[in-house]
Amino acid sequence: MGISYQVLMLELAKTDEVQLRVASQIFKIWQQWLSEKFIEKIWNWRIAKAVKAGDLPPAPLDDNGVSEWYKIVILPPPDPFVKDETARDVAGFNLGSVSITQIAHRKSLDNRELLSEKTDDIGVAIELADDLNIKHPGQNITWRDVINSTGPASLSAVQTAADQEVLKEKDDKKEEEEEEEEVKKVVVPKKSIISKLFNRFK
Amino acid sequence: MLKKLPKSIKTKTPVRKRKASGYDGALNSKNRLNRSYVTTYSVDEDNLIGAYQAERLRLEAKDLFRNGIGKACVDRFSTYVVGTGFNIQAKTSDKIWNTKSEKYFQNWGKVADYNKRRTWNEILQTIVRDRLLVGESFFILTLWGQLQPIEAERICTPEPASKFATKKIVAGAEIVKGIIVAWYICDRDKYGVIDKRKYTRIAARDMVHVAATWRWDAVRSLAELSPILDTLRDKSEFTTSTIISAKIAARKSLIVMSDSDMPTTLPARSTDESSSSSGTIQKRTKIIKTNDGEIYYGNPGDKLETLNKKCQQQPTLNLLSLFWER
Repeated sequence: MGISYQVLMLELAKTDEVQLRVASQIFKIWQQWLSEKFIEKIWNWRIAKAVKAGDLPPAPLDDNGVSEWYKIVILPPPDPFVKDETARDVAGFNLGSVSITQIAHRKSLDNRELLSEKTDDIGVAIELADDLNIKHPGQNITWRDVINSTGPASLSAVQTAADQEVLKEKDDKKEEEEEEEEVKKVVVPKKSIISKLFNRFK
Repeated sequence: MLKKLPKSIKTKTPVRKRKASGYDGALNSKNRLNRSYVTTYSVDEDNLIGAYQAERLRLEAKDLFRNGIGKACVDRFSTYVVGTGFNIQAKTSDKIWNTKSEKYFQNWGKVADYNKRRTWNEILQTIVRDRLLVGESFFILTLWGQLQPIEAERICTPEPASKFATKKIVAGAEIVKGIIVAWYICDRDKYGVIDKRKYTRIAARDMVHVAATWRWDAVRSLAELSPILDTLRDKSEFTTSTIISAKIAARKSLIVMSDSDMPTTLPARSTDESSSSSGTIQKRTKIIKTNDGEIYYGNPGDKLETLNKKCQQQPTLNLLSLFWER
């Protein structure tokens, strides 16, 4: 079967990293086999049948006029033997040797699914930050404060600082505008009274 | 074209010389037996491993799965391969169609099994298990869009052979110019035994054969565990023996020695100074070995002794050693 007895029997204390990697590779090969020999064939057969029966609309055609119904990606389940590689992924991502797609595939997701989860989270964080700012005006809370994953030298920390500057600028502008409006408020009635008087005497 | 060989080349029966092989692997030696012509012949895989041997291999693998170490290995392996399931994503240029087809397939997975016994993930796990224990899986693609699983042993050459003399059928697969065109599925009788006289021919296009052969010409696939069946059996027996040995070693036996009078029907020995007429032997010591959990009601004056260390290490020889020492 190609994998060590200890890995198979989950005697993980007796295994080393090489054994785990080998096991992981063997399972990938079997997953690939299952995908190609069975899942892909069954998808092609069943979806074609559904299109033919009218249960599904016809799949779009490619540039050569051939139906694209067979175009699929089969993502295997997450690997139970891979340790949490977040720290290594951060370094790899900054170097360009690891992509979001690769990270997503390890979790049995594609890049869109992984990133859309993130954007959903950001959306919720923005709403919560806005609520907090209404409750506690002047605190300048951003969504990054809500999703607090910033380290001292990280990109996010720099962004947070930049956010705060932008917010300060916005606040300053607001204050200026408010002052101007107040001045206007004071002047406009006078003007209107003068204009009324002027109009009357005219 | 040369019609006659020149005289110089014409010879009588050629003298055969015994040639030594260039490779050690092709020869027997004092220390090692060359296995070709013992287990291996120069024939194709389906003829080398006939239906009978294939069946024996399957039975042995299944027996190990039921009663031995095989279950732990195979179940765990199939669980790791299938895990929480595969994520299938349509990748056409139309995103709406992709979502629709993915959802359709997900829902279909719930009713994919014609026998209404397994979910989609369970089907996948069974395929992995089948490859390990049986070697292959078969599914009929039904007209109404379900998968009908067929056990591999039901795929076999039907009988009588004379009826199929004009066809090339290899282990239940009808072959035309090297391509499988149909499979023969034999029925089971009411006792579950395969009846080769009752069969159904299914066109290959309506059947999915999930297997992994290692030779180009091989049609059928054997259990992935076949090469290690003996090793697994040994491992299983070794584990059982170790457990039994540990169990026996963990037992504490006690010897109860009693000098009190005891009724016996044994005839007196010539060395005994006893009255044989009374039926009472006065000078013999009664020895009782107790086992775990056994309750023995002793008499006043009984002595308890444990077995010596040597005996404890060889539990099966406990009593023998004891008497030997005495």
